[in-house]
Amino acid sequence: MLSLLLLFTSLYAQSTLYFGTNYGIIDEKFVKGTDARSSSQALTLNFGYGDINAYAVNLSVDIIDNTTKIFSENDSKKYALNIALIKAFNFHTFFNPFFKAGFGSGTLKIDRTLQNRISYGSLNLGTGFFIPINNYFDLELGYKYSYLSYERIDNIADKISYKSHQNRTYFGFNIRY
Amino acid sequence: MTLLKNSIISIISLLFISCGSNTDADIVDIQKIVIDQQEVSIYSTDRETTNLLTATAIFNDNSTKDITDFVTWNSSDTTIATVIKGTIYPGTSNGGDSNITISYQSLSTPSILLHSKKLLDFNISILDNDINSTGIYPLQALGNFEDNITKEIETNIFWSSSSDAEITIDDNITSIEIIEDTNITATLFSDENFTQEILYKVE
Repeated sequence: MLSLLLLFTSLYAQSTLYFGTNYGIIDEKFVKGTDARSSSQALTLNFGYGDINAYAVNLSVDIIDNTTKIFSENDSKKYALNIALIKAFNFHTFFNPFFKAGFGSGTLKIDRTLQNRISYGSLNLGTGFFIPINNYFDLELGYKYSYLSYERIDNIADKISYKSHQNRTYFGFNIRY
Repeated sequence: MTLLKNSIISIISLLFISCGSNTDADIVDIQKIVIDQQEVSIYSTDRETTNLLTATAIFNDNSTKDITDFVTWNSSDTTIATVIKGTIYPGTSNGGDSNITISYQSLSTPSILLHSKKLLDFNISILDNDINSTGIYPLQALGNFEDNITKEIETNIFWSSSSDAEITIDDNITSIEIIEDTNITATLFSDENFTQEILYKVE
């Protein structure tokens, strides 16, 4: 209870609204359902509220390219919505390390006889650092790990469950006000 | 500064890790579903018929999978027969044809013909080994069908007696408890004109 109180106190301390974007490269390794591997790129839009030196809540929208055939011959781009709690640190240098943890949900169009869309849930962990340029603008460089669990593929007699590990490195910027 | 340098090196290393190769999955998708038989026939008084109907999913890699238990079986005339998981249950009509299809979500198949063979006439008997005494005895009905086959009638038969004799069905065997002279009547397909009656006399 005390820690939650501290968290909320810290969250409101010097909090600002912010938004930003980042570009990343993703490697997704499937560990259940198939042993396929997909390397692609992602664009993320971030919206958040918090302190670059402490806590923040971050809402992000992912648009993930998809060049690999996993579920069908025509898998589309993935679209995902994520929420994360960020803990940043200020060591009085010109960069602020951070950790983030959260979860999300996504979807993509597929081209199968029985399904034309598949959804997934994700658990996300990340780390990196912010490089404040001024009070309103900072760069972000980070790494994000996601565990993805996809909706089952229906083959009538078999229901195939796909799961994957996703590693992402990214860079971007945020505007705070 | 050292921390920043180490962090940058770490993240750049992870960037290279992220640049993995692309390996497509072996995509197996359903092409169509089929009923394996073209035509089947049953007797209108059979209890149920298994193993006559099966369904198969055919995939794009030419592999197949038995889906008999997973699809919905449809009958155009349920008074002729219904099908559940490939097992055929005769309806309440004496003979006739029904079109059978299967479906699963948006998939369906062309129909196949299910023919129910008509019962032409029948005889009933009490299996008492000519003892003619009180006791519990099995009842039997044998029918002659349109294909000149004689076989036991299992369903669509209603037994009744003129006395207080109790008629029971246990393990699909119909029995009567005889305590006095009794008229035993069997009615087929709920048709009062399609009955047989025997008199059982207790000696």
